[in-house]
Amino acid sequence: MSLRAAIAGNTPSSSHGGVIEQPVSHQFEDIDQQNECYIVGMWTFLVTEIMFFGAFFLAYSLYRTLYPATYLDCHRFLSIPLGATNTGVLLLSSWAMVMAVVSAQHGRKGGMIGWLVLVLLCSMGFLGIKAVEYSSKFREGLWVGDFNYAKANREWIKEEKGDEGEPFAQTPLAAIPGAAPMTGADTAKLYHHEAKRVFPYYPTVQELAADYRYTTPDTKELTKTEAGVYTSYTGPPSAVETASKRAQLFFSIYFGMTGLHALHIIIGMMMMLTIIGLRLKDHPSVTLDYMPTELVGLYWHFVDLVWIFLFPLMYLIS
Amino acid sequence: MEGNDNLMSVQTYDSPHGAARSASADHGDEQENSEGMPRFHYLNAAHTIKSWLLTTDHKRIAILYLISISIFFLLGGAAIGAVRIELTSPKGQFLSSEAYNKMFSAHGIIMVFLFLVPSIPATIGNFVLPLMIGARDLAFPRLNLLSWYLYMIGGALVLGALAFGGVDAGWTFYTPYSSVYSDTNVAIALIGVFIAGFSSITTGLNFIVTVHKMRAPGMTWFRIPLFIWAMYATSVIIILGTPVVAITLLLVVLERTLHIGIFSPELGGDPVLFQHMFWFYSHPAVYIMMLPGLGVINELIAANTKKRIFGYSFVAFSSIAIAVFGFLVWGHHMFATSQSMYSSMVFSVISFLVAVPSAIKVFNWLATMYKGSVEFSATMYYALSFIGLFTIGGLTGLFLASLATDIHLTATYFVVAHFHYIMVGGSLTGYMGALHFWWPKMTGRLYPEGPAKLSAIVLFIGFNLTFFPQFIAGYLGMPRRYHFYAPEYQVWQQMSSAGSSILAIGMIIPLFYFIWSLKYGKVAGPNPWGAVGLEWNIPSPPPTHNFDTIPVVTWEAYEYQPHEEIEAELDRESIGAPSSAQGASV
Amino acid sequence: MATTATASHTAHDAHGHGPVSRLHEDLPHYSEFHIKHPPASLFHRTFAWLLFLLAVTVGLYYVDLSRFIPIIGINLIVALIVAIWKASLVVYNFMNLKGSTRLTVLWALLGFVWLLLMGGVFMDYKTRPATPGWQRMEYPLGGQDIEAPLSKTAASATLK
Repeated sequence: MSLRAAIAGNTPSSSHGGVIEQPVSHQFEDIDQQNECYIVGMWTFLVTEIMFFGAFFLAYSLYRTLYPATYLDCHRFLSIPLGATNTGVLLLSSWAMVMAVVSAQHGRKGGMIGWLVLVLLCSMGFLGIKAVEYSSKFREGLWVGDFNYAKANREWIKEEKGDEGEPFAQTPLAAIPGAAPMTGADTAKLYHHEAKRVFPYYPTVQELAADYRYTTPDTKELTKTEAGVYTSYTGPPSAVETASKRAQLFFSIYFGMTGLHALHIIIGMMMMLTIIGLRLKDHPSVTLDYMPTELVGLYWHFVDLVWIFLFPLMYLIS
Repeated sequence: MEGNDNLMSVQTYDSPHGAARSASADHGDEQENSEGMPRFHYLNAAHTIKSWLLTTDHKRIAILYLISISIFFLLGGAAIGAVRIELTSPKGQFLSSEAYNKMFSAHGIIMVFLFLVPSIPATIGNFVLPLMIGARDLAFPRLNLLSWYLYMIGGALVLGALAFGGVDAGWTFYTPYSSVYSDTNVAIALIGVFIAGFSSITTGLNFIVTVHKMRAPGMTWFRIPLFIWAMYATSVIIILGTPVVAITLLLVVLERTLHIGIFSPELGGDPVLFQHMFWFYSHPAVYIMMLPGLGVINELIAANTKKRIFGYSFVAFSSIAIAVFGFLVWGHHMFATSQSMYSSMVFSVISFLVAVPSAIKVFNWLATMYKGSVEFSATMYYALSFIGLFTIGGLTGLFLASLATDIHLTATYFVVAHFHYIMVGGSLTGYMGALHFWWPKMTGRLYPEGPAKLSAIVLFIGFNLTFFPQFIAGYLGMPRRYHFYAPEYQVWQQMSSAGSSILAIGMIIPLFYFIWSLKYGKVAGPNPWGAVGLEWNIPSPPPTHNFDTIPVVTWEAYEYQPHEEIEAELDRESIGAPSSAQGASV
Repeated sequence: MATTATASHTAHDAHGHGPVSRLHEDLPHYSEFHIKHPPASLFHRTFAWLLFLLAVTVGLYYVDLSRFIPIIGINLIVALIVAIWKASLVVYNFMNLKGSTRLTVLWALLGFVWLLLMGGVFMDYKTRPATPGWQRMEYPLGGQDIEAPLSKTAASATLK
């Protein structure tokens, strides 16, 4: 069938809205079946990715409900402008991706490669901004294995507040003991504006230390008396220590989720490079069929989706 | 997207030359060689190693899986052999405790992730699913090949981790032991399991798309064999569940390597969260291991009783019900943890409910056999032993689902016996039955019936001798995974070990006669069992392109009797006698 | 044995992908499984909307919504609603769920719905007692004899 005829008419087993005519593999009856199979297959794979990230989101949301003050506290170390820029960059890349698919459907080689290169540039920009964020975490002492909450706190105070002694310039909630669990009323006070807090609200160290559930006792060694009786441990951890540990939990989740997301970005980039390479060589799998590009596009949009949820949940905690 | 320009320059076997040959020739003497086997089939389509390692033919991939799965099975069996020898004495025999821990962990990891999960789907499913629905191949043949390679890579990593240092965290990898305190090769083993999980996902993905979109014309959902319903439900579980364990195990790897602690109590994390996430997959995983076996039994019962499965739609929906409900019960593995009482009660109730669909299947099989023309072939031996052993396993699961008894029985040998009744007595027996049933289709040769029946009986006896004493030991209080145990359990452990040697024999015998049959077995022909199904209408072994012409299906599944006769009988309100059932003409 | 529909015509069709039975060609074709592709202008509009919603997301962060709607966590709820809106735009327009077949829509939705099942974990954590069991046990000062029975009254009775 000629290209002209394909543009003009919708012959029964031609590729419908697009212009190029796609070849059909031996196991399929016609092109519609093949196309739908590929799309359904890709969506099924994306369902697995949804469950993959979803389980991580579950861990995140569980710890957020258990330790709300910690999350509130730790997000001040995350740069909102950078996060918002990242989101914008990814949205741009999503748009460029879908335009690349349109070009592929119409068989326009230059358009397809151009748009794909734009997607690549956007993703490299994303990774670059991520690298900036990660390196600042590293400098501040919030890095994996090298976690130093006190240092990060001091840096933040210096930057945000000048050199004031009390890190949290808020009125502390009255009479919360250092290690008692937060009650429902306290949680309400934490979020309600009636306590006349400046918005966005930063919790006090006491509130942070109060924000715990099921802490196991400090694992310092138990001392054993001569009678063979174990006396208790040296006491519950201090408020700052607890806050530091909780912060480490938050950042474990932060690095885990954003790291996993960045890994998916890299995989997506590799797939796009493959497509670009194949197209430059005029390989039939991408010249005759737009489906590979569309499938990569679906994957890329999914990666964007994950970030759309990650950004408000991690960066915009209030 | 293959066409004639292939991304990988793979030798395709549906060349016009081949198709024309089968299209133009009558089914005459040219099609068969002197023995009666078809002249051109998928096994002799090409002989190079490359044609096997780069094949996209689902049948060849199934054979590749069959060989590799069997190897893993033998390794897992060897590990538990060492354990069973150890357990004949309360103080152990020749292993240190660390080595003992590594042995039972190896057995668990290999058997669950590398044998049971892929066994029926990857071997039997890959081979038979397209044949049963009248398709030329799966939807994504190259993805199918990738799934085998992922399986091999994952398996190699796991074996490497087990062989060079071992893993002693159990197949359940509970934190914080696995994430912090164990100093064995947990991370590498977990990465291997992670990759093998992706193999599972790609297989499931393939099956789902194939069953949805590539059925032969006229083959509606309620005309597909019940094995396909079971495979479809299994694939749904795989897709929805495996990623969760993937991320969970990945988190443990990260905690071990980068020390980012999600499950660490020091940081305020909860080790029980690991258990939640792990069992969110691993409970549906036991249905991944179980459902294909249940599906196989449908085929075995129908073929051996020459009768339509009673209550077809009930059995079909029960597969879906098991898939859905299986996702709602994970907490029953955690009754003895800090999981709250209220959620434990919810999980307990739903666990009772999830037994119902399985029971529906069993009752429907019994109703099928009633007044059927029952043939006691070796496959029927396997099917019947499945029904008995699976029922025992399922009923003992109810003891574990009820909270009060579970407190006493959890983490004892009762649990071990329960799940082995399901997995070995159920899933493995189903796998063996399926291998026997479709062996003629896969190889074109019949295995010898006598040794097959013998091995089924030996398997049954050995299995019960191995695992029934474990129910007793568990009920009396012996904890599981213990190297040294109190002497009062010794008699049960010794019985169990003795039984396990008989069980091993029952598994080894088929190895011999299957290999023997490849050369000396009787030629099977297309339909040695007289069964009804699309796969029995094509030659054994099938040609690479499966069907010369895609059939148009106008009949119901398992139509051993023409539909009109069934309707007439129901109108007359008399159940048909065996003689009126049309035995299949070959 | 039930009869199979015989099809003697086994020619290759125009695409050359193997024999197809003649009867099959007479059956209703897959016209309802046609995937429809939207015009490019839809993508431009969607992109603009997404950027606008991003600005809304960031802007809402600086506004204390509990001033207007006194529900705990209202900011979070609104942020999630906006995120879901953005996600729906991406899925519906960019990922072409709008023009996809029913099967595709089913699978896409199933994934998101199934995720909610994991919320069952919350059922556990929300119904746990405020203080865990070990915190409610009374351990007297000076430690506890490990041989003593673990009950509140017995422990405090025997050791003083």
